[in-house]
Amino acid sequence: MSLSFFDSNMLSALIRIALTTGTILGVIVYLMVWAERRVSAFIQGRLGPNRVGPLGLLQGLADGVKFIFKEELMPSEANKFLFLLAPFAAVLPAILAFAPVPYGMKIIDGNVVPAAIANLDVGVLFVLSVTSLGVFSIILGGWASNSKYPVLGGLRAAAQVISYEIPMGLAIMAVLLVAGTTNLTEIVQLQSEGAWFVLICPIGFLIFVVSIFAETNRLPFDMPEGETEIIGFHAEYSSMKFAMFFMAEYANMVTASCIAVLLFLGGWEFLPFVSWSKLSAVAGVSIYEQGFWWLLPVAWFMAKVSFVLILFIWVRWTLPRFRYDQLMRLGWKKLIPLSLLNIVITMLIVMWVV
Amino acid sequence: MEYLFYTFSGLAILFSLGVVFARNPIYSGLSLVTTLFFVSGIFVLLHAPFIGVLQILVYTGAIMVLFLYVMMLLNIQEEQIVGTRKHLMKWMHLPLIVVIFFIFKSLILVPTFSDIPVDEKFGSVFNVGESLLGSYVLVFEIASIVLLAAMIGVVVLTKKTQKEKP
Repeated sequence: MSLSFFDSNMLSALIRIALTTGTILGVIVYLMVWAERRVSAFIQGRLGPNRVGPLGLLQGLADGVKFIFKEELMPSEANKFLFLLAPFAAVLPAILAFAPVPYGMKIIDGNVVPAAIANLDVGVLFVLSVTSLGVFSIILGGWASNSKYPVLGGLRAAAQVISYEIPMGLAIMAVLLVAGTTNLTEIVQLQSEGAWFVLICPIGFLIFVVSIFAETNRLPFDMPEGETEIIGFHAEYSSMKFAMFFMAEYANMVTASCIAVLLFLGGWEFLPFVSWSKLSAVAGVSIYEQGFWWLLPVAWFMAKVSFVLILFIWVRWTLPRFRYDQLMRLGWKKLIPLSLLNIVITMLIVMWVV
Repeated sequence: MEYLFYTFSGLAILFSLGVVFARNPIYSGLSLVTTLFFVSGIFVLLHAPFIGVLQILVYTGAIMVLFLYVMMLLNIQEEQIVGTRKHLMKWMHLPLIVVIFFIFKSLILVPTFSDIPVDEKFGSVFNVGESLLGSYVLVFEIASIVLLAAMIGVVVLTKKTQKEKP
């Protein structure tokens, strides 16, 4: 029995799950933490961690060892079960949300088979719903600590995440109007021949990017952490449990960047109006059908995702943190009306132009 | 497929019992979250992935979050069961056992999933949308008007109490 990455049996599905989650948590999140520190240093004119390993690449390993060997503290009045549950409730949706995200595709016997853990017809909605579960970890972590500041931090963070889910959902809805499907692979294929959706609804892209910054608790909306002046929901967490919250945050960033690339930036396609199949026809190979050529679009997809991830860091050191009321005002009074307007504009474009 | 159904439904029943019997209201709420999760799994098995995903998105992701939010703000203590109620509670499980027996009996009679013939596009976003805005458009619109009325009602009621305060 020859085993392929793209088969639909149980074993190859397990291989896909192991490879994908392993790559995300073990490689991409690891590199992201390293890049965060190095790029931050570069922006501020410092060197950053450069001692452990070549270019400081092993710094994350050293940090991991430090996290594991730190003392585990638990507040004496905390609800022990929920206090332990919260970090898991943060990591689980972060990993689960990646299930329907395709990062490439292959054509086998004329059928398009996406390189993803699961090819769901409701892919976009699945990602939306699973990422919305992450808010439970914030509420539980804050409440179970049984301490004043984490409770307040948890409530603040939960309100922020719930509020920004609305403009994010509405921005995605505009894309779904243009695409007419909720399957992520089909959405990419629709962008392969024509314009990328960022060209059709640029306002939607802007709203989406701002919303994912708030959803993943990144600066300028990092109220949930706020380590410098206001204290966040994970103030009582230490050691590996704290590291799990951070891993979940970075995994969420990766998923959000992937969704941004898939929905707006043409997924693994080369450039707007220039698709890989057109390009490869000139070169004389059929890229999705022969051998390992399908890895080329996957690499291009990774490059686009890295660009969005670098954008996260770039914005972090460019904009100062918002005050909480400014954040809420921006969400409810600016972004939501704007995203509703965006839907109406997109509807008109779909009706008369496309 | 069948073993998945029995896993999901068994766990859903287990956690819904948790909703009723948990002393701590937070545990009750979390049990309900878990129950809804497994129910959405059953929806997926019934060839309705869209409804299953909406179940998580709306009930778990939005409504239950607000429930827990309020519970934690109110800081409800663990339920103190008074003597008379405890006496009554002793016999509460009898009707419950009967109900569970009938549910299991009907489950055994349900045809297996592979037996149900379904259309290729059954339960897809397209089909659900078409039936909501096609054959059931009147009911759909009435439901949305009722929801709008409720929403406006809530806004009016909360405004009133705010005015009386100062």
